[in-house]
Amino acid sequence: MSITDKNDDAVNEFNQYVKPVSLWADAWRRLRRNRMAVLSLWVVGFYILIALSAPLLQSAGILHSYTEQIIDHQNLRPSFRPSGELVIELLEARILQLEENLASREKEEGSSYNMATGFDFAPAADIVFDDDVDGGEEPLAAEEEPEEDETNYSPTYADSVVEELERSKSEVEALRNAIHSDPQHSKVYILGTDDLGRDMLARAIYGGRISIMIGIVGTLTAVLIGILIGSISGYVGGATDNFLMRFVDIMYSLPYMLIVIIIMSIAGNKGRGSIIILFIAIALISWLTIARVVRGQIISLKNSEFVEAARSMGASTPRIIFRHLLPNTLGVIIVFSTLLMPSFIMQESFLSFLGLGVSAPQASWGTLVSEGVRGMELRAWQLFVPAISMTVFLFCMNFLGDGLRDALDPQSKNRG
Amino acid sequence: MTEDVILQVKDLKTYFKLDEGLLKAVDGVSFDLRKGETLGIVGESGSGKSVTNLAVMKLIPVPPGRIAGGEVLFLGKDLLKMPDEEIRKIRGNKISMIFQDPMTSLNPFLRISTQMIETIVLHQGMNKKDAKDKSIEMLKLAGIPSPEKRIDSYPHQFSGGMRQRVMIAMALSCNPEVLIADEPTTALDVTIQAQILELIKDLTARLGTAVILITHSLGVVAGMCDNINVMYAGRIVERGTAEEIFGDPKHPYTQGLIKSVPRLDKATQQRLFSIKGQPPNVINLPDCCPFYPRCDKALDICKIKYPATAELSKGRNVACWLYSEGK
Repeated sequence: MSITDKNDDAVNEFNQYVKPVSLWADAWRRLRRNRMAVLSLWVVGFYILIALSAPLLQSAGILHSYTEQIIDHQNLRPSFRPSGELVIELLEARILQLEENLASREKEEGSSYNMATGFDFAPAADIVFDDDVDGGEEPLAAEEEPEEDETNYSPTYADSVVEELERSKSEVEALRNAIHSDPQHSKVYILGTDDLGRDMLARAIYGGRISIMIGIVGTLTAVLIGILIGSISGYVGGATDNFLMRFVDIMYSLPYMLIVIIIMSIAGNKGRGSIIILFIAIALISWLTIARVVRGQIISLKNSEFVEAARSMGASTPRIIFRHLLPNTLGVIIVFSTLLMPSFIMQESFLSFLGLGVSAPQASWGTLVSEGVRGMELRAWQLFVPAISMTVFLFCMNFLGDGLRDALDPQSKNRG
Repeated sequence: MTEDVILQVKDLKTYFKLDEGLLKAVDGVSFDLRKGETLGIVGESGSGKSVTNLAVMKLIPVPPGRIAGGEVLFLGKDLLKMPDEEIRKIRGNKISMIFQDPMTSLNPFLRISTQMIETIVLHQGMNKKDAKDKSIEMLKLAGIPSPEKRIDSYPHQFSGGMRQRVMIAMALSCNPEVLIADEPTTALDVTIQAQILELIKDLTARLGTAVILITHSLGVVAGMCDNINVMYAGRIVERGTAEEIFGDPKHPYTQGLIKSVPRLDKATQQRLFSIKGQPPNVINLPDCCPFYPRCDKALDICKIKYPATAELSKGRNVACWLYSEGK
């Protein structure tokens, strides 16, 4: 409040300028003082922006397709270099290894059997194999017994190694020729690729789209049902309240995850992986807490004087509930929703991890993580990319929720 | 006399069913309100003043409350028998209320304009722009400076006195026939009290609105009211014009009330008079005079039977065995 001469601004008795500040504006001002909440708001906004604009980015060629599988580009590590170079690098490393294998095999006949078990296409497995060659006693101890088989196996193995060596060499040659002509090999996978040669960045973004969508839609459904049930229950009271709340109690007493899993499996044959079934399963149960929270708020507010005043002014029941009571509970609802959304994303991830959630070709952070876990030791980026994206998002949502709670609650002790 | 009576309350009974028993908050209250009249209802806390007026508006929470009997005739129609739909058209439009605590009786989330326009649009069928103009006009009448600018403020930006002004403006915005002011100044400090009372008096006189002023402050009713009802334990124990009540109180309770008002023109050394004891708990009260344990003129019959109302002169009633026949 400051004294001014502005003519078109509101003034009080002393001609002091009074700006109409709504409680929302006030809350927003408090939120802006909370640095972590503002940062989180930016991050969440960024996520949502990216998620919304993903198809645009893809058609603009900035983002690779999340479904396109390029077999040549399997399991590429995160890098800023074109994929062609990376593939050549990988193949050359492989060739080098194979040649070393052959050389060491010629030198030392005895370890052939071990080589047979170490036969693998994965580069990292070859490192294990190398260790075996260098490592002293153990392989030697193991080779004593199958001595007689050696003559049967070794020519075949040597042949296959030679064969692969030849194939790899020709592939490298072909690639060297194609690398400049085929645009596919100039693709850059900043966050690497998965085991089917799909871009991890695109998959994480599209996974995020699904996860965030599930979070938002689930929260909206839960909030809508919860507000409706909660406000009716709280305002009408009496037998209605009793009936609705006992129903909520019964639903509460059922094990939540079990029900969701059962619903998902019942719908399984037709709707496995259908996001809509997943929405229904999650939203069906998650409105319970919101309904209780809203009911409590409405009960504490419905006897307040402004409600009585509104009634004495002739307002109808729906008008009182929706115009006078709900706006007053909105703060709590908003805070609850921001904290509910991460929990939805977690639940969806959990279901997807169990294989009950979203399924191919669509992906969510949960499915991506569960895919990533399979090759975790060799190709950590396939786990870390979706896991970190998800964690950062959930972290920010939780911080935002905390910030909103402090901002919207004028009595909060933590206000900045 | 009856032709200009706009609100007639006949033998109104409002009971609350509690775990402890039946609470007869209002037990057979009758009064008439004439056009342009200011009627005061005075009594201690818990004497049923507010419940009477909530019952008139049919705003008693049901359950636990129940309007057990009686009639409330507004322009000849019984409000208590009206369906909700119809009574909503009367609330705020023909009969409106001002509440005790202006700090809580405005919705903190809505702008003043929203709340005022809402009522006007609802009852007067105006469009929003006209309703806003009307609101501004009402705020101006209620003494809000530069109302066209302040109308978009939120309640928390007003002081208590200003909020009560807003409430008054809102209550009078539909030109109601009756304004029920339920302790309109209790939550305000003394300097503001006088202003607000003056405002109510002035505005209602100008608009020709009848006022029911509920208060426990005798000073307030003395200056404002034409007629006064004194309530005790859910019943009206004495009624009369302001001069009669203050000049010649009949009921021992009224006498006690008036004696317990501090007066500047009397000796200051004297201890302030107070009525002994507490008002009774009206749950399962026997059919006695509820005042007899505190009454210094109590008779034997007071413990047995509630006195019939004696009419001393026209509009001057008292319910006390001292004045009743057949004691």
